[in-house]
Amino acid sequence: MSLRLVVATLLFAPCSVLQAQDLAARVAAAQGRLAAIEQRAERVADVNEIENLQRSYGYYVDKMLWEHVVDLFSDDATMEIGLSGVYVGKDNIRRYLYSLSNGGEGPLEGVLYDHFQLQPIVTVADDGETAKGRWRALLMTGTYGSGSGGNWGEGPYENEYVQEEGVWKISKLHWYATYYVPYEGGWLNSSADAVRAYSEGRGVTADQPPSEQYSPYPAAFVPPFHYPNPVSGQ
Amino acid sequence: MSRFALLAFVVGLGALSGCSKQSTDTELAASIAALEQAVAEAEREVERLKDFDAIENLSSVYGHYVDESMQDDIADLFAADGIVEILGRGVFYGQDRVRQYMHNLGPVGQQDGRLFNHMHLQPVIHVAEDGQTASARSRLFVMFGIVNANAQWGSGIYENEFVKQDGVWKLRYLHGYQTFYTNYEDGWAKRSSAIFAPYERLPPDGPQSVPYDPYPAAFVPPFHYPNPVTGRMDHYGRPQPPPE
Repeated sequence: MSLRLVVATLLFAPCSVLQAQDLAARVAAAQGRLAAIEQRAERVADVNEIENLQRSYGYYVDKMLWEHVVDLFSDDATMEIGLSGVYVGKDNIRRYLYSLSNGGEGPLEGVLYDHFQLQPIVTVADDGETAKGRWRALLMTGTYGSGSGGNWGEGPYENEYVQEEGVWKISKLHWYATYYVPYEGGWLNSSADAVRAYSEGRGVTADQPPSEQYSPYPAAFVPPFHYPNPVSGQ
Repeated sequence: MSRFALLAFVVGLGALSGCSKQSTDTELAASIAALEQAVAEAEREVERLKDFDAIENLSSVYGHYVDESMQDDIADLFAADGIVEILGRGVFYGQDRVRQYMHNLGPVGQQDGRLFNHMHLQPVIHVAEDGQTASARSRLFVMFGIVNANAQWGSGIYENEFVKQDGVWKLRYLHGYQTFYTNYEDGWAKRSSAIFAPYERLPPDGPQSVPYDPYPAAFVPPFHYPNPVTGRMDHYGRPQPPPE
């Protein structure tokens, strides 16, 4: 083989290297697109987990399973129910919750405490570290044989969530009372006093005053939305 | 450059490019294998997200069909070995018995003067890692009525199980727990029905899997999942009806 031929043959080698580089670039591009798909799938999974989390909150509250409820919060979480004021941190949230049941945990004989968790709008931050959710609670409560038929309650939440070591937790729980009314007559009559009686801690004091001053129905008040109009962006 | 030097250069270049081509091929094969693996994982994850939605839809569909007394459509949602257990009515094994149970509730289709709303709300859904089974806790809210005669509220908890067969999710075990039933006039704090007994005209195949009294008694229907944050196991349970 002449030297010239050897040189000519070997000069083609870089061509195949170039081709390989092109393939490697395509593989890298596909990896990048796949990573973006994985991230989008992860955001959808986040929404599912947050929905499971908030709905579990409702099932635990139904039965006054306070330790389960407290478990759902991050360490520095806040909780504010109706006109309760703001409780800061797990210990104070626990203090508030136990006050609602005279210090006990678990369902009480003769007490209905159903807290439906409905109609979620969950918005996960792009980085997947935090999220916000607007929800609706429908309450059916009552003490059996108390003479009344019980109570209705209704209102939206604007809540916040944080993901810590892959687990979503509630970092802020804020329920705005629309109304809390006797079963008899329902929302024909509504007063702030009834909301206060339902939502204030019994014999415990909140760490901070209510974060917003408002009166429940029949007063006109729009709990602020955490998101702009999803269609117009307004 | 001497002839020898040139030869040495060419051989060196050849060795270099040959080596680099080989290692590039190996690297490429490795990164393609990694890519394929990541694609397979992403496919599994997306499949499980679709499963989650499918379970949510199936639960909602069940509620809508009950509203309209679509007895055969309800039974069709169950697997061949599906089980139904509602309130204290006892356990019915297999799709044929599920069909009988549903037909026993009344004539097929909406009836003039009869309201049978069964709102199916608040699902907490867990799809198994293998994507073949799933469980959901959900809430039942009932508005029942016979016009000018009877109006009732009802409330309950479902702990249902699902199975995927040939790519289709089906109900494997529908288990509805009774929280309360009362009439509209009284509301839930003046009146609450005792647990609903088995139908005399349609005795069950077996007794209810969990004996309990509904509100005003204190009872927690077991959760099919531990606490989602801490894994706390209090009130965890997956009661199953006894073997047929």
